[in-house]
Amino acid sequence: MGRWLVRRLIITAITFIGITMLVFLLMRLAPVDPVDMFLNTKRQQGGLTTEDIQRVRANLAHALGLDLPIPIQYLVWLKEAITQGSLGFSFISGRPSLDMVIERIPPTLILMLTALALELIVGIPLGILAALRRNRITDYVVSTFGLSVVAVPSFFLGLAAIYIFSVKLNWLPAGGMFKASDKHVDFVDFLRHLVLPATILGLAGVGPVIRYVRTSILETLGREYLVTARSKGLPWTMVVIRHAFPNALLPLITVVGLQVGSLMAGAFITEQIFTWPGMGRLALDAILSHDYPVIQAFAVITALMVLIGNLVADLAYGVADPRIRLE
Amino acid sequence: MTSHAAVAISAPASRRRSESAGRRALRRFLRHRAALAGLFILGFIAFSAIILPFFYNVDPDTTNLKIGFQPPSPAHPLGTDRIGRDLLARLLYAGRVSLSVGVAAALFATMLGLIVGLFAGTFGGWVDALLMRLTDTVLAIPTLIAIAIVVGIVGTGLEIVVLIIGLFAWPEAARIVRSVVLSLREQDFVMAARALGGTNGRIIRKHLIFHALAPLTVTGTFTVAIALLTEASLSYLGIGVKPPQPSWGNMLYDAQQLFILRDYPWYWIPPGLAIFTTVLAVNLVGDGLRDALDPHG
Repeated sequence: MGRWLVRRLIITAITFIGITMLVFLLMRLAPVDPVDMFLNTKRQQGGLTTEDIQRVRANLAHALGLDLPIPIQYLVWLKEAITQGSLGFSFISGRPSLDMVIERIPPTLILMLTALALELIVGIPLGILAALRRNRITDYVVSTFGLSVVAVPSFFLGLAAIYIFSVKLNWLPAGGMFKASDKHVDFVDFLRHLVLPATILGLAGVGPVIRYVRTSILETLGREYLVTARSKGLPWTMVVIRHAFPNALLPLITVVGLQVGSLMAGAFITEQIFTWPGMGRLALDAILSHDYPVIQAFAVITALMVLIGNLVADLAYGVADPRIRLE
Repeated sequence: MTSHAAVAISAPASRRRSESAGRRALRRFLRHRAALAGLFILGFIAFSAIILPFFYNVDPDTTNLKIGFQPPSPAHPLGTDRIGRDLLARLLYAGRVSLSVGVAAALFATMLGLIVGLFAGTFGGWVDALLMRLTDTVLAIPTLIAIAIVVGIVGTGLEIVVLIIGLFAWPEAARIVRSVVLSLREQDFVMAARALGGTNGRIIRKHLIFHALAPLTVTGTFTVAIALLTEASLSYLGIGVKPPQPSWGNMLYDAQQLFILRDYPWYWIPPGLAIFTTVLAVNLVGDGLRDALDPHG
């Protein structure tokens, strides 16, 4: 277990460093020069003439270390990130970009976890049902449902949900996380705001869960140890519950781990539809306004979250299934 | 001389086998009702996008502020948008754009996957280990976010969207090609080809690609669906296909404003349904192909 754990950790760390290099390189490939960008903001705020800018430009590029070779720049950037916890400052607000992203993590995380819970609560029973009723009408209905929710673009589903539940029926709020008028945090109001985005995000991921559970149960049902359990006199229902489910559902942990990426991508869109104040909304604003330090911080944090998600899933699976650790 | 004889013997045999395999696949596909329905829907959508604009002779870009936000009428069967453009014309032209992006990106991704998979499978060793590590990493990346970030930095446009979707959508194809190559590498006919002096390149061209084609077609089809959805999402967010060029995704962009969503449903429902129907149909065809081309089924 120990050696296996260390190996997983090292691979994760190497991947993370690789991703930071990629993100850094990407920023240097940007067609817009950060110094110009910075000076433009300053000029728009007034106080600088074109000659000033010419003069300041070279000094600034030197002060920011932009005249150094790119690998050195990367190391400087990495050193600042580690020693000062800084990934630069927003071109727009001037605040530390990392702080801006980190304070947006909780709303995104709440949205993702609620959606994930929903995916499993809906997807596992439906998958089991489809498998046990294989090739009957229930199976077809469930499989068609799974196929449809994969095919429908989440933003279209989200818009339709707002149209029906917020505009026509007026049951749920159309967007945001709290009522704008509320000064204090009202938990019920928060839940009402969470329902639509979490449902839309969850539905997007329920298809793969159904499909996976169905196949896995069908495979397990053909196994010999089930025949053994049956032949020793255990009722079939008990055989399925005691012997088929645990073995079929265990690998679902890995599926959930792989879902972290698509959940984050889904949250990115869902947050825009429902104006949910998470990382995704901040990031799209940054993308549209070329606020590179914020994009950079968002990329690093997203990568970290995906890696941690995969690592946790790997570890959980290793704990649950000893065969994995022996590899 | 010997090698020529071997080729002469093996070629007709493989051709005969492929013909019967092809006919069997076709027979199985035609039995798959959902897949046939998907193919029919897809045909209808492609026909509408490609042919109908020649008959429905309305310019999708002509604006007329005086007739903005009109409901469906004989003059404008699907109504008009914010600035008076005919929505049916835009829907049809958007179909051309979205379908081209989907197919082009999927083709590019499949080609990349084929190359990576062939390299990994044929050379093995550290090349394989490195390429598969890369494949796993790309697979774990939240594609839409990565594409949004890249687009945010290098800018957007039709070609960029195609290239970037392709750059992130290849891992599935690579894995499949690699597994095909690995399963064939030790088989007698490949050993024979190698024994006769066949180089890696020749073995790949004459034997491996042919066998990888069937599973690659299936993955490629599913990749079209993914590419369609990705393009639609990016365009909806305003970082994909740029207006005035219409795409199904960017036609929904305006519906982010609540008054458009509330008061003008004909504005955003048709393009949304178009994306949904197309992606569903592509997936159904993919399912049918998978069942039809599965050699064990």
